[in-house]
Amino acid sequence: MKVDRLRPFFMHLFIKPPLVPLLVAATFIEGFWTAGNLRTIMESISTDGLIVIGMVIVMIAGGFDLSVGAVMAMGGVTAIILLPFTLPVALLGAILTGGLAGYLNGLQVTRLRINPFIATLAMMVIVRGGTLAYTDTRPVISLDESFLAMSSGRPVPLTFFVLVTTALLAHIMLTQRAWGRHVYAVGAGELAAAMSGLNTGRLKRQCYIISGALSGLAGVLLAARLGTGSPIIGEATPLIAASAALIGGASLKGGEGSVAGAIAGLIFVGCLINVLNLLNMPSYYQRITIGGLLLLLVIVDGILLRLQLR
Amino acid sequence: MTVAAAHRRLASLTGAVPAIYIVLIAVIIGAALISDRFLTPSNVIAILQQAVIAGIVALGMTVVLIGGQFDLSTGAIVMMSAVMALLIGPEGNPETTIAVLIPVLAGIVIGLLNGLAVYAAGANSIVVTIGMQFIVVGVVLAMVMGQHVYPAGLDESFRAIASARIVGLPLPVIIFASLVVSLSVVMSKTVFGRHVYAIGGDIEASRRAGIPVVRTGTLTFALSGAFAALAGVIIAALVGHVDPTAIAKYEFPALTAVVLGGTSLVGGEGRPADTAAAILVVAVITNVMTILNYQYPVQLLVQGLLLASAVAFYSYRRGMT
Repeated sequence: MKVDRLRPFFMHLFIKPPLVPLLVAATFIEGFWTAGNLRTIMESISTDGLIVIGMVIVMIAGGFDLSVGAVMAMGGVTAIILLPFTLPVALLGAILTGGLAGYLNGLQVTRLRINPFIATLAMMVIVRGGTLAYTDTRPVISLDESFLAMSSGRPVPLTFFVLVTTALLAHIMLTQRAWGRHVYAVGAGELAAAMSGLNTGRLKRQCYIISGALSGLAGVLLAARLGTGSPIIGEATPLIAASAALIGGASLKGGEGSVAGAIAGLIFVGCLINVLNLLNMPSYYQRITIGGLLLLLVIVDGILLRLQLR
Repeated sequence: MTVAAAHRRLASLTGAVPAIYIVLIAVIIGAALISDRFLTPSNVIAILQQAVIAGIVALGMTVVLIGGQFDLSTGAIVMMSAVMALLIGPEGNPETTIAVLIPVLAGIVIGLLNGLAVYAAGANSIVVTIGMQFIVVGVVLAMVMGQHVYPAGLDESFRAIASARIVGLPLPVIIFASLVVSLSVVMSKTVFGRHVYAIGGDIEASRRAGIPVVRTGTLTFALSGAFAALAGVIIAALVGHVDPTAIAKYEFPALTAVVLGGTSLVGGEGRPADTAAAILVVAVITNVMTILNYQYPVQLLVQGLLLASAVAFYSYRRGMT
């Protein structure tokens, strides 16, 4: 029993992804194992991690969310615009607008039966266009102390605790609650789930709302870290989140995946990007690496699915 | 003729004409009412010039989508091809020919890779082509180190690709029109075309019926890559320089047009000519917004709304029948 529980975790750390080998290799790179650099990694993982959690939940339910990056940008901009009305309003506003975008995604997917990739692609373009139009393509800046304080904390940034809390909550919801089992059931076979009496449409909409709300929250934390809400950030975010979820055992067919796996996948991707940064690779090579990694993952995912079907 | 017969006649007429042509006429009338600058010859030529670039991209994506897949790497291929065409330094023949051929070949190679990943390995086409988009853009940016590509001497023979006029129409418009006609013939009259429709209709049944699914499907992506690359060459010839970090993302207007034109999102249905009509709708709307001084962000927003409402409209109608 205990060994069975440990094995997937072991698998995530050593084989898929090869996280431990990467970390061992990283010791030979100057500056990787310093407190400052580890904090940088934790900072970037904290914001992306919230999005990865949402993405993996949507993927487990058999969907996909391409709008996360645009919603994240919108979240940051919304929070800074609402900041004059106190911090809680700003936080709530960003989470609510993100959740609303997610709800609209869910409506498109469940009520109109639109392919989730296309539905969330359209939402991505709408949200990005709306954010750019509202800000006139310029970043909005905040110097509010209490807002910037959200990204403080040494050696471990406060945002990291937000991620850990959210991850634990999502993990419990998915593995210890009926709701989680229902989400897995919807992803594994929607018809069967509907026939056994589950409200599959509502479950899926809930998943998209969670993904949107978490993307909005991630946007606030990112804006707090940078001191600006940029309307153009997050272009690569859906790719990073999908890569992390796929590395962590999720599948584009749905019904598979876990929060722990996805976070392990994100730690791998985050460390990989960090190593590339430390090696002074121009950002172009990072694009190639992220794109190549994702391409490789979906090809492997596709081949594995085919082998399973036979 | 009785009234009932006249009604039937009208119904069969409107049923035969896809909704997109009615939308096109309505949009043109609306645009002409909004701005008296709209129907001037120079503005019409400008609309066509803009429309054909996204239009050529959209034609390729239509074929891929009829096969039941998506190609979102086209925007990156447009950018790559424009940069390549300008880097080859077209300073007269035979360089002009090479500056057209090499980018198109590169587009075909990328398309083949997309196609193999999707049809041979069974990977999700949207994720594959977005991954490919990142790789291609990354490679091009690394190649030119993010710099603006601004060749000093561009030969007239290269500029002519965009500026030459035949019976008053710019050459790209002629190229686009002939591509629409030939692609329509290929899709409706050839074995390849029928196979693409079959694959999009039911891939498993096609496989069992002995249709070469992997070969046909991979070819649709190669075709899309070639078309996108051709569009990139035309941009290079039209503008004469390219900023690789700022070039418009052509896959969105193109995808919007493909969906607006009624190509089914699950494959098996759609016609290149309808996509051509839809790209004109998108171009007219964009043009009117430019005349009314709405900038790129608002245009992007409207494009997204257009895509979402087109998708919603067609899936609603499919649900009705």
